[in-house]
Amino acid sequence: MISFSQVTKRYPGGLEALTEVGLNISQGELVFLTGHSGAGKSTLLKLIAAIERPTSGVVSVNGQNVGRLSRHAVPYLRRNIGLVFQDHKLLFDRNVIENVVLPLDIAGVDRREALKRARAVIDKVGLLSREKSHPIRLSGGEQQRLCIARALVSRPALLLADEPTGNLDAGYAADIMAMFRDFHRVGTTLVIATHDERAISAGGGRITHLDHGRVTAEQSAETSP
Amino acid sequence: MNWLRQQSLALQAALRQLGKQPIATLLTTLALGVAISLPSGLYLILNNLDRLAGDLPAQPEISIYLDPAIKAPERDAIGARLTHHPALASSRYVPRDQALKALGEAQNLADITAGLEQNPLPDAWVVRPTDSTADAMTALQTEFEKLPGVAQVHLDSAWAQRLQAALAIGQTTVLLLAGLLGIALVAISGNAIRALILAKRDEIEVSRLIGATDRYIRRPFLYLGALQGLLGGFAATGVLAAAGLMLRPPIAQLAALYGSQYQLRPPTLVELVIALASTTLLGWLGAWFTVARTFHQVETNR
Repeated sequence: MISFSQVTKRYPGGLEALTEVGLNISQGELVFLTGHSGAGKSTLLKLIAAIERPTSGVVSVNGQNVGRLSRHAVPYLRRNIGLVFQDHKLLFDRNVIENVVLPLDIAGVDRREALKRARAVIDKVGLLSREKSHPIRLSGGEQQRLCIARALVSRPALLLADEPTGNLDAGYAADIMAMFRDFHRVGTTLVIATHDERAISAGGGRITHLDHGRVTAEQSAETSP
Repeated sequence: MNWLRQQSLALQAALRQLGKQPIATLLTTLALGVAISLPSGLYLILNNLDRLAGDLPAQPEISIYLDPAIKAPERDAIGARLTHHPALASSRYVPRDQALKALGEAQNLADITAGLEQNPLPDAWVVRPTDSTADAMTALQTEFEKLPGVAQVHLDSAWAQRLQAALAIGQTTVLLLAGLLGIALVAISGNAIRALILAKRDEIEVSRLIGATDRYIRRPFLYLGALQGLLGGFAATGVLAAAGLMLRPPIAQLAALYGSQYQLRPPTLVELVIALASTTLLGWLGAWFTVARTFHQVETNR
């Protein structure tokens, strides 16, 4: 589903975030990207969603060369990808349901249908009682769950998460990870960048370790200590 | 269907935005209204003056006064010439006695004219040329002045022509003013939109990340510009209507003093629709320019 071949990303200013990365992720896989901060995890995710473009090499998603997509085609790629951010990127002038319904509005889904689907997904992340609340009234964990609900509402086949548990205490983090494993079980492809060892050791999936922009180790999560 | 839905969503978003900042909306509307009311007001004034000039004898006449000491053959020659002149549409002879009588009746000067020992008025011809342009009139004037037995030639409607010329200048001024204030309108609308785009930076970024097209993001801002322009147009209409109501009594009074039924003419429905459509278009245009420029700025700053 996703393949990286000889991918190098150099930012203006000379910082080389990724160096000749090769990587294949098949449909339905759960992949953890690990590594210290600055190892290139976020850059790798951004290349998949065409937020950044590779300096050289080919990134392809579902057979499309993402690095060469026209500006016009990028939005349609992103509608098939759910994005979860460490800083949530919620809109604070809208309540919970308005935040979740936004991707469906953008995709032009009928309003009544959109609200129905938004409510279902809010229920799934356990925020139904907070439907009319504004994000500022939610805890960090709740905000992250809201961000996940927004990423899932358009039923993407691929979910990318950048440090989804980075700012959360252990209890919330375990909640979120359990939720991701549920999505994995129903067939969603997940790529999760994290340095949270606790989250990974819970079992299942594949670990890809990045060090200074290179893939240095690949292993299955079950065999990790 | 989907397209229509997207348009209506963008329009709703724009309306919500206007309602969310009532003070800013009001101030922008007022600024636009005042800017628009200047050229439109001048246009209405000129239109009314033009109509006033149209009520008067715009068909210019030439009066030819004969020398009191004129001899009979000369008098006959002038009469023959004027009745058969190819450049004249009509001509009529006004003998001095008839002129004096008309003067007495028209100006209520019967007492005075009756008291005169002798008639001070000359015999005259009043002619109406077919071609009433200034050049043709002057040519005829010089031609008639040279005829033997003519004392004086007078262009009756010179002032009407001058008024027409002044109105032409006024119309050019309206165009100039409309052009300048059209630019101001684009700038005012654009500036309001620019502030809003910067305030909505986060929303724009998030929308892009979750698959919004450029059009989707641009659309509410364009509607906002158009709505702002339309509101400005309505504000200008209000300003001009108020001005018209205030001017109505004094104008009626002035007209009554001249024995006229003259009244201010309000703009026609067509003129009103054209004015509102152009302000809407200009507001949209301002938004379009700003959106194109500011989005680029927002993206490169990130």
